[in-house]
Amino acid sequence: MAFTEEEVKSEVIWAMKALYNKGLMTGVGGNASARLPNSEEIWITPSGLYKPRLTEEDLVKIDLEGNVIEGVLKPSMEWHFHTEIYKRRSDVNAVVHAHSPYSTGLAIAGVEIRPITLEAALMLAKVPVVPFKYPGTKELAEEVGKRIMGTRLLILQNHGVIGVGYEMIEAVTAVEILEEVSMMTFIAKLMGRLIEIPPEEIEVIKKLYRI
Amino acid sequence: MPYGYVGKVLWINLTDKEIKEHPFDNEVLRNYIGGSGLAAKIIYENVPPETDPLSPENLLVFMTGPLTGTIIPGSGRHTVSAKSPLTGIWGEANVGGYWGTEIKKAGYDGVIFEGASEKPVYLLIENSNVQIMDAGDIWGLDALETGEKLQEKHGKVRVSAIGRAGEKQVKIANIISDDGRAAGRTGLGAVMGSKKLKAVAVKGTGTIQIAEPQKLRRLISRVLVTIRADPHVQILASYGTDGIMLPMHTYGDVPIKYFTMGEWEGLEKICGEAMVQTILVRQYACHACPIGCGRIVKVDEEPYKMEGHGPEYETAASLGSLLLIDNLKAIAKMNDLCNRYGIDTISTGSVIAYAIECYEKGLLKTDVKLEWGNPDLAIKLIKMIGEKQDLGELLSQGVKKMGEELGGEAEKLALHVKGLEIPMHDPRAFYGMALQYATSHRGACHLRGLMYQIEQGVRIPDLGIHKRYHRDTLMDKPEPLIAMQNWHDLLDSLVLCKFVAIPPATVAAMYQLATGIDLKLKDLLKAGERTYNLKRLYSIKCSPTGREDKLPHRFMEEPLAEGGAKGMIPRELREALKKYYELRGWDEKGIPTEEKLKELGII
Repeated sequence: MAFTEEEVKSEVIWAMKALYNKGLMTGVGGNASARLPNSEEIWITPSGLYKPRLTEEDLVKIDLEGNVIEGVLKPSMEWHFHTEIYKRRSDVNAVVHAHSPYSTGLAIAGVEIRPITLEAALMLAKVPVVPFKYPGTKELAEEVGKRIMGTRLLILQNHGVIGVGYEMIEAVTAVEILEEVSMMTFIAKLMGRLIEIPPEEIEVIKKLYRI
Repeated sequence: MPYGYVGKVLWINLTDKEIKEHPFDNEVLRNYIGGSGLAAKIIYENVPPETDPLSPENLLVFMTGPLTGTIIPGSGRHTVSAKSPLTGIWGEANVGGYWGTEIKKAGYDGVIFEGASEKPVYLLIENSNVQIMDAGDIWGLDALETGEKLQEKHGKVRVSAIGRAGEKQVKIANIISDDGRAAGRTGLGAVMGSKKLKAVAVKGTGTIQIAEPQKLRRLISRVLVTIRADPHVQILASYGTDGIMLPMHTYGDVPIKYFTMGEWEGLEKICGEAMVQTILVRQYACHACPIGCGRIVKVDEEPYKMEGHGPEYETAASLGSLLLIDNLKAIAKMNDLCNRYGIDTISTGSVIAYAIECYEKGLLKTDVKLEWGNPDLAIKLIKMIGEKQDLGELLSQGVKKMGEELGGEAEKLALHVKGLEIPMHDPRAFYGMALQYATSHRGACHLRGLMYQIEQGVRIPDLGIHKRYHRDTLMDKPEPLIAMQNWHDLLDSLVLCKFVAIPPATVAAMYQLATGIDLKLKDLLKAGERTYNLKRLYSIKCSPTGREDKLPHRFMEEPLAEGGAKGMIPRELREALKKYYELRGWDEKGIPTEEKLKELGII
């Protein structure tokens, strides 16, 4: 968890490297942002740069209306949905966007993620799918905003995934788990069967998340 | 003095206007930790059981714990304790926000009030500068106005205050902190009012010393992801505590029409999701909270116009479904009025519902036409209770006293345990809740046990809760309930929020890193058991009520005809109690044995 602005920036850099190293985005694919709790300003990755090699000085500080406060580069084109999420969820201090191949691929195939592991049930619940809207648009941000309550993950149809958290570890972990469970689902579907955890064992999760 | 603590409390004698500092012995802190545990030790030793709760001899104890105000998630809480004027036994309430953090920064672990002032006063704490101030110009203001006025006067102070109900010693009066957070239960606002103490305003600029700050920081940064993996966290963050209304209703847990109906379509209009879609302005998070379950809401239209803290689940149910009111804007207004008068929303909804039922059955005669589903009537009654006027005078005493006054059949209909109105979880839907309510030391308490979570399959391995418990069995519940009660009493000593579900072993590690005291989890849980027994003992000494471990007739004899708890009754309560007493080391009357008290070091 970040307690200072410097730590916030280093978490954003770490997130990009972690997602890239996991194969969840290409060098020009994803983006990330973070803020100090209760702050109205975020640090976001810049647009158009090779993400795994970003340094703290490349980051851009913007307010929740997208105005640049600090930094010389242009903020990520997806700043609209980043700020939309922060406006709606004051418990969220980190947002990442990746192009996780299995998670995105299953959504393209119209396959829903089910609670096949305890981790999946806990962290993923029922992952909402956001209908396709052109990347970088306000329309996409509005659709994201409509679905971000009660979840830490969204799948963007034909685009990628969004993970959010109180801090960066949670946002990145959510995206990682989604991809892991998507791979399991893919394998199970390929083999022809998908057995879920007995519902009684995860009753509280099923009730709260309505899955 | 160990880290985490400041090491002293303020001891204020309001009769003599004397301000003293009271240090704590390290051994006492090891045994009673802080918060309401330490308060219990102080009250047990200084307030004889026969004391009139509204007399100057009662103490009012505001207390933080060793973890309050640190960077530990959920540490923004404090407790308030006294002998309760509502129940006549042990009384305590727990509240979030920033007041607790502020008083520690000012250099005190808490503040204890004894005696009573002749004229209204408030206490002003600006670091070590502590003054008893004349409250002539704020006496009569509501609790929120009082906070605003004191901030105008003294700058950025954090305020705990009573409203007009506390001033009038309404038995269900509470104490409001930080613009709308309530130390709600057991009528402690009346104790404050009896002392002519309007408010405690605090400004602190110091720092809380931590034994191992870097290690604590590193630990927190790595466990947050696990803490937030709890599904309750996502729901609480997005929809507030009222987000549990619809899931809990599937069990028949949400009380409807004073616990007489099992289904009602109105819940869809007053649940957490509806709040987000209609009146929510933003989330509110207490100090160091990674959830932010608080709701700031706004209603623009009269007659319900308001802006401020929104209803929590307990309030949405007590002022909503309990009364068949499905207008969320009206509930927000009612909640705001309760906060302003300084009355507990759970008890307020309960006394109104009870009055309506008695009126309908011809057991209560009044000129006011009492009916279900009428928000304007409820608002009128809230004002009457807050002002202790007309019918409000009867309602302001709580359902137990109301029942005693009305007598006969009416007494049987009053829903309470040990004089404290039943919170918004139906003990017929979760049998563990029946045992929890029956055995709670402050009367019907929803916050010590949270058995409805255990009975939905939550496991807490650190507490020995490994197996799957079902909601319709009782005889297997004493063991997990005792573990949970001790754990929650410990959390109220530390003081930590119960919704930020940090695994117990991690809490123990945090405690050690914060205080430098070498107490392991088992030692801390022993402290929880110690305070649970001490509070029980005090309640029993205060009154025979203290061991009336029973549920009202409705829950034992009147099953719901529909819904998720249809036909369910916790019939084996008496047998389960026997087992519970045995496991607790209490005798067959539910009194802690000498052997148990010696083992715990209480005597």
